[in-house]
Amino acid sequence: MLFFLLPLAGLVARAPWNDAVGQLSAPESRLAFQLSLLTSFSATALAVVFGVPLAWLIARVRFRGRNVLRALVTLPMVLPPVVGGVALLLAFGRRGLLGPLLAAAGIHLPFTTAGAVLAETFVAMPFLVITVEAGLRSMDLRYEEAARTLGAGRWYLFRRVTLPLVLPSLLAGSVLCWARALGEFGATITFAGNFPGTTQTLPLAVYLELETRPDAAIMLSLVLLLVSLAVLVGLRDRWLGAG
Amino acid sequence: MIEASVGVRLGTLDLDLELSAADDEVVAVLGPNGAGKTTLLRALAGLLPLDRGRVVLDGVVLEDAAAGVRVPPEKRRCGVVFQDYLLFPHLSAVENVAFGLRSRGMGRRDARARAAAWLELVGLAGQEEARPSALSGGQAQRVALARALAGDPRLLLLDEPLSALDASSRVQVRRDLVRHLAAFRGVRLVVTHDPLEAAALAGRLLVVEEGRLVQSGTVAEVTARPRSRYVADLVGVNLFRGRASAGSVTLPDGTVIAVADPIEGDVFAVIHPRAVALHRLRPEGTPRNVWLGEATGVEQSGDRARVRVEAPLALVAEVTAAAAAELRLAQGGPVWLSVKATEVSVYPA
Amino acid sequence: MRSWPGLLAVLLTACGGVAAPAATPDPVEGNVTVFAAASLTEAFNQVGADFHARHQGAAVHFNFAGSSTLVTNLTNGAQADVFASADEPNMAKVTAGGLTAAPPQIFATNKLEIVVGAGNPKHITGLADLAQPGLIVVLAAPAVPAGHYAGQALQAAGVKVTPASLELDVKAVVSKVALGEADAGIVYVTDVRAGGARVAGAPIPDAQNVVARYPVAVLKGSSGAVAGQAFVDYLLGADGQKTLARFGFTGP
Repeated sequence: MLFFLLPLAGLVARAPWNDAVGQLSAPESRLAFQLSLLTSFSATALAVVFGVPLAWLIARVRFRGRNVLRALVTLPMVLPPVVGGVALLLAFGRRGLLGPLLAAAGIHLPFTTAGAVLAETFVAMPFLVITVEAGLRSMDLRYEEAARTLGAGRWYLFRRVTLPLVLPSLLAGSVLCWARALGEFGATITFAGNFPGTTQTLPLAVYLELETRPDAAIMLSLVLLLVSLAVLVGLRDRWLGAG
Repeated sequence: MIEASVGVRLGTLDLDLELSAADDEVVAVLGPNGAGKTTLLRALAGLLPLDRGRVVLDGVVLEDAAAGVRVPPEKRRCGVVFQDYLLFPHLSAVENVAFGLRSRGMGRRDARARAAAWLELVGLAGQEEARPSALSGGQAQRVALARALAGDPRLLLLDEPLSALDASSRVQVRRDLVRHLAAFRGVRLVVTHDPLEAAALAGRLLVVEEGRLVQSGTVAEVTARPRSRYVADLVGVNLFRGRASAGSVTLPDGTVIAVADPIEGDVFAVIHPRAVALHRLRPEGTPRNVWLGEATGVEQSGDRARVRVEAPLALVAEVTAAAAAELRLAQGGPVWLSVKATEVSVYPA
Repeated sequence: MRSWPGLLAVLLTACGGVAAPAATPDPVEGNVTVFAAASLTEAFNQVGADFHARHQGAAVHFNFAGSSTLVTNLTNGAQADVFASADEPNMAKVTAGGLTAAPPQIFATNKLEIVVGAGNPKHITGLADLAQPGLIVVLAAPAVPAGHYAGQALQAAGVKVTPASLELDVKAVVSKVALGEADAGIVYVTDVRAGGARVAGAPIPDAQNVVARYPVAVLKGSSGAVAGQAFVDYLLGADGQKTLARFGFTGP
């Protein structure tokens, strides 16, 4: 317990409370804050759009290579983030596997906000997939059978029975995903780079400010920590328990 | 009217039977656990594909394994009341009942009105907005029934409808269920392992054991002439099967039972436990069936005692508790049995 | 810990075996922790190996990163014996914090160079070319000496460049160019040399260039003070300087 509280206490103790507002409203801080909100929510949205069908596939459909797919999906969770960033470069970079294809389509990802979103999605999506998959697995399949005997077709069934029943897991997974995306550093700086307003998310700003404006760094860290804490407390046991 | 021949292989279960039921009767499928009753129900509902066989409901082919025809469950007009009710936990009672209507395209308002009417019919007016978790067992069962009936099905399947209830609510709910079932116009099939439930709800019994139909008939017919050990145990009689000839039935192990019936051929013989008299010394007198057996156990209930006897036949005898004490049957040991030939009931197998 | 070579020498002499010189135990022993600017990576690794060959009882452990990052670590309590920075302002922060045992000394100088992809596919010839539209340029972050120097050079040349990214140290800039993600960056001449065949360089004339002065200092309160001082002495001595020159550094 102390292990988790002491860092927070340290931040609170060292924070320049009298200049808190000044530090936070400085242009670099605000820029980083806005950018982080944009990228983390975008990453979460992408994770939901691609992750839910993926979770459904892994949980419900029996096919050869299912275990391989699940392992691949969880890979970013165990990969050091910088390694993840390098992997993204090798795949989506200018000279990466998909580089020429993307260039032909006029898409350029490194050093862009889109690149930062991609990096965050890469590291955070597994959290959503795993949580939703667990929720789908633990769901009583007989509800779906009951719905079918009541005339529900595949899509109606998914909309009115499966999705509502898996909603707690989906929400919990989204929140975890968002929190992870918000805190992402290594993959972002390696793949998307670091430039204020474009790719300098909060964690990057904290890291750099630490050297030049430590007070600002402490305030930003506090904001990050408090936001994450608020979100996790809001999650509450029932979502984590039901998932 | 339903006509079905169902062939399904599921794990160790090999289900193979034929059944038919008319609109004006309630049929109970009775059998021990693992007999295949629930599998049968799921196959009829379309939740389990047939390996062999055919299901025809009101002249419409729902499934034909050989011809590759299979109507999916959502298109069969089949209402199911599941053993655990399976009310959708995230919907209120009225939304649950309306589910089958809305899934088939009815508008929200109309469906709700119809559902509310059904809830009133089953005596739950005022409980429309209740969540399933807030309902009692009996209430949940009625919502499940209303939900199944609201979609106007042609076939109503009930899986152990009373088993999830505690003893005190069971009797009342059973009475209500009998009423509701009587009001339904369509084929009604109840699956149960409880003979009392079967007897109370249904007119005709189908006894299923190990995936096969072993007996079919009215409650009276089945209990009077059990054709399987399972039913015999349920009824509480001793059942034997053997070859009858010239006033005696020879069992496979060689034991001969004298009977008063002149029947010939393959037969069942039933001896009621009360027809068995027990003695410590070889009895004199008229009974033509006298055997020396081994008493192996006594079960007392009230003023009666049920005595297990092995060899030469395995049977249960019922005597008064006083008699059991007098003969010191609790100690086991050799004991003479006598049964009058007139007390043995015989009928063709 | 007794140094093994010393002990062996004594034993051999005692056994009347090989006529080894009567060795006194080498006072330079133990672990030396050196925090050094990222641009010193390849050169210092070699220096460390040579130092270990000279003093076999001593092992040098390096921590390479942007100078500003190292300063943050040190001022927040990280333990090191020696600090080598890529510029004087960063070293000044360490001295001001009272962490140095003796005044810092300049041990090397370096110059900036433009790093480009192998074969210079974009035909960069000077700082002015970096302002080409559509060119992807990365620099080190301003807090890092190389980034600060790069800003000075660009200003001196009157060139305005909007970088695509501000990296945490020079090596990251080299990586991005080597991987082909960036077209050009500004790093030290030593980094271009260390980049080998993966990169090429475009010179910056002296008029626009900056001279980076690298100070080194032994830090206070370290357990390896003796060995640390020996390392600094080696660095400033003839052998150390020769090694640095091999990697492209110029004298102090």
